[in-house]
Amino acid sequence: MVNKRGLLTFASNPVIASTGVTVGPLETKKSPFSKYADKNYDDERCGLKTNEQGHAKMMEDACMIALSKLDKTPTDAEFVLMGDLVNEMTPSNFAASTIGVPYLGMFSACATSVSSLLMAALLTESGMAELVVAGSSSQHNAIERQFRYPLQYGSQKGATAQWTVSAAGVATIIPHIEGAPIITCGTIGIVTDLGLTDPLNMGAAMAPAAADTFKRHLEGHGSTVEDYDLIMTGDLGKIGFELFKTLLDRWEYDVSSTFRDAGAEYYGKHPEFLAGASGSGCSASAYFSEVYDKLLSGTYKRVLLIATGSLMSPLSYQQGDTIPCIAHAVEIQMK
Amino acid sequence: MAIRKILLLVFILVLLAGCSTSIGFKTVNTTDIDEQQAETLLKEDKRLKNAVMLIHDDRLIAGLRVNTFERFKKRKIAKELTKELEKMYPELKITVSADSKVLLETNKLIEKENEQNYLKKMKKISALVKEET
Amino acid sequence: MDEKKYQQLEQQITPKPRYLKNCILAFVVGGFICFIGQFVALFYISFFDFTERTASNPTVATMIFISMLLTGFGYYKKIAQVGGAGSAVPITGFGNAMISAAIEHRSEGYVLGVGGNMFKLAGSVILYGVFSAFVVALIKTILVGLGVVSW
Repeated sequence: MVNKRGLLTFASNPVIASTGVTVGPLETKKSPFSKYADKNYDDERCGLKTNEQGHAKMMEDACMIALSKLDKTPTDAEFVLMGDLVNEMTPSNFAASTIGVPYLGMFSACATSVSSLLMAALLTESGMAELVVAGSSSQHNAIERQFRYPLQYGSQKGATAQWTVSAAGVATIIPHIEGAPIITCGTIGIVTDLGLTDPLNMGAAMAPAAADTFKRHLEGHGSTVEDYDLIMTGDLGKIGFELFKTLLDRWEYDVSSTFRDAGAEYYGKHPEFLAGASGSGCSASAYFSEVYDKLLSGTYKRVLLIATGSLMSPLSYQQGDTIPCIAHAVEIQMK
Repeated sequence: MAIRKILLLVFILVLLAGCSTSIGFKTVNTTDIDEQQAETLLKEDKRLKNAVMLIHDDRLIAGLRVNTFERFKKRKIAKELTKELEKMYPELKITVSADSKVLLETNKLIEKENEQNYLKKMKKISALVKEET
Repeated sequence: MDEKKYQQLEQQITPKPRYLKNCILAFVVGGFICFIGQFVALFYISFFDFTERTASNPTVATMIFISMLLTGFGYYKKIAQVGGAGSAVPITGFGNAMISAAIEHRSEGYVLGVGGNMFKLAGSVILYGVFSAFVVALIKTILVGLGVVSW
């Protein structure tokens, strides 16, 4: 008896019609994903006064780009589902206020990219939406400041530390059409907490959540590793990704190929960025740029995207609490 | 790579050159007071590396440099020597300090200034030593 | 998978911090900062009327000024990544903690932002610095009072 909890299957085959990805200046220079991006900024704040305003601007631009690719305006969109990591998701709120589309804030930390995508697919599946915008974003300065130390504070980071990306990724989801990647199914993650407390080693905390969701997805939807051209995790980073593969190896999955991690690859495995990238913009901008483009071009036929998020706040870890983590999976097929 | 090697060499040379400058023991006496006693006191003190002593008018200034590992006790050493010198020359106003400023200034005074300015400068040095913070 | 087993696995895979290398780097970087500080102190001693004792105040101010420039231009973070404790312990690290917080919170205004948050990181340094100075002074006063040591 296969446990069907948390599994989603979209019989109406909703598709991702277009994507919009914006990346910050550092990512433009260092990230291999930036060449798939739609817009680059020269300035971290996008020419605005504060980091948070720049963050909102990045989100807003990504939404507008995704809509303009379909020749649509925000007035055509029925829902926008997005989120970020700043307190109360203010950048997303401001971006939603500018574009003026009915808005639902989503929060699954760095897994927001997939959770909003799944919710958008559900809305489309239910027949209540013809055009839904879903996405997430993060901005290095705004997020580091909230979760860690001031930006210029000299603290030595260990090999497990990750670098929050400045990027936004947005997708538009519409009912089935030919020639676009189909969201076939998904799995909502269970919050996993194995008692890790180091906020500078989030990859290790998130890896079991990713492994759990992966296992549930494969068992629940009856697929195997070989069915996929690509299995990509969100922002586990080098160490978390290593742990994730070790866990899968113990469960006797073949982890030799098809596995990638957006966080570990985001800055081209450059040692300056230690374990790699993190942030809700990391998975979103990687999935909706390179992965989406390769799905469209037919390089990938069937992919499994597992975005992971650590559901902590500065308060919770300062009070010594453990880091609960979540991972959502979405399967996208190109037929 | 050549530049790096040269830089390293210069760096080491500068470091080593810093160690070799030495003033030794110097005494200048413009009065007819017998300075021999004080000189032997300073010279025979094993803890001292350099010492410059100037006796002029009714003042005696001694700038000391103590051995590296005696540095933690340098204020104590200066105090001890002050007491001994005061015993030897009760008629003089005595300033003894292990502060390198005193050594430097006294040395400069001996090397560069003429005798007319001695008193003024000596008063200044004594005032500096008394300054707190 | 239970917690203990996973934590063991995590320990195995997470690279160990290289303590010896970090210590050496901290020594070199911290030493170099103090080396510069020594030059600044020598400069004040030789060209101004400061003695070794009184030169420490202007030296500290100068070092904090240098650290302010380095922080503002984004270099101190890079030095700290290499130097670790070597860059955090000298007065420049203290300056960096204050200045980085001040820069960070500039966007919230001067009173609630800069003023309210400047001591966010450095505040605990001041508090525990003053407190430990008090404790040490207290111990010494008692010892002197008992006649064990002298001032």
